[in-house]
Amino acid sequence: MKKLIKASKRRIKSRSGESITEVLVALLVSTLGIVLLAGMINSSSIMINQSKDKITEFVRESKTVVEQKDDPAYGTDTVEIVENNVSIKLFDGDKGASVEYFENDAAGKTVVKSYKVK
Amino acid sequence: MHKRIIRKIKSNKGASLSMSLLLFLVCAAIGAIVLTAATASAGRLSSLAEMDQRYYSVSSAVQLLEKQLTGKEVTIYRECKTTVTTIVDGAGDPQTSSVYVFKIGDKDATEVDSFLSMRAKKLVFGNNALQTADDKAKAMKSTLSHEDKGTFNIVHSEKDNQENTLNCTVAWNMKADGTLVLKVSDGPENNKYTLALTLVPTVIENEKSAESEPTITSLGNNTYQKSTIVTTEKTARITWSYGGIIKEVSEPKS
Repeated sequence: MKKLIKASKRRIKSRSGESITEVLVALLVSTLGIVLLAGMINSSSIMINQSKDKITEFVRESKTVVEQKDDPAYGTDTVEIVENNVSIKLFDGDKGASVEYFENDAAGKTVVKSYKVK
Repeated sequence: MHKRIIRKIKSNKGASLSMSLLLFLVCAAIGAIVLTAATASAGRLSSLAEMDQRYYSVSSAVQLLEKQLTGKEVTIYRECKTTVTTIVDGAGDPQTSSVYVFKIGDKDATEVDSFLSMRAKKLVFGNNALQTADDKAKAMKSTLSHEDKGTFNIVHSEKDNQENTLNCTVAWNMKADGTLVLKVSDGPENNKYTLALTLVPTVIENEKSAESEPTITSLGNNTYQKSTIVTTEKTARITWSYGGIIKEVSEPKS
């Protein structure tokens, strides 16, 4: 190990040039590195564009849900309270919790729903 | 200055190829790290819609619980009628017999079925089954100081579409003073979105005791029976009000 460190130090301090083989190997390594970096840059730019599209779509869908909250309801339904697979009432005289629900318009994608207690 | 520039141009000194390759390697490594971080953050974008759904589900469920549970009053009524019978001019100790009534709202305490009535029952009677005479005598003396905890689910199943979008788990905990903390959460165990709703109780307790005029019944042979009825009534009215909603932040797992 010590020998290796000494050799490296000597090599760094040396003012003599490299052999043609060394230069060719170095060129090969550099070329490979540049090709890989170029690939990485290309894929990262694709990724950035995809992320931008996703964010835009996400914001648009969230906005749709929020906007629907002020419009007539998408649908109304009753929500069930279940304890150990049995429906329970929250208080005596409870006639069930009625809610209005709203959906985004992401056709074929994850549908996001929001609920409003009536 | 001019000479120095000329000398620099003519100079044969420079970094070795090994040094330049090392520098190139370092730069490539930094570039790779930055790109990996960017890829990881871009991957998180795909779960944004799912996170949004969790937020809407949990906030809707908390709103529902707050609207349904606040301001509802539960009345707990306890009554004990003890008849003390003594034989006038006769020997022996007085005979006593007791009749108990335990009601929560309009129902018998053993038949309550709603969430709030069951919590009120536990708060006053604990695990007392209210079956034997001994149970009932203890229940008359018990105070509002029993803790309780459990879970239930809030589910929305569309009739035409069986997809359960609203399916939140509510882990509730009742403290000894009656404070209810309902933790509503949605999502997988390691990545939950949780909101905690606190309901604070207001308890008004009344107690009154009355003794009836003694009734004397003749048993013949100059022997008389004297009966007195002692009635003890205890009423507790509990109302839960809004105590706040906070977002639960899960502790990072070590």
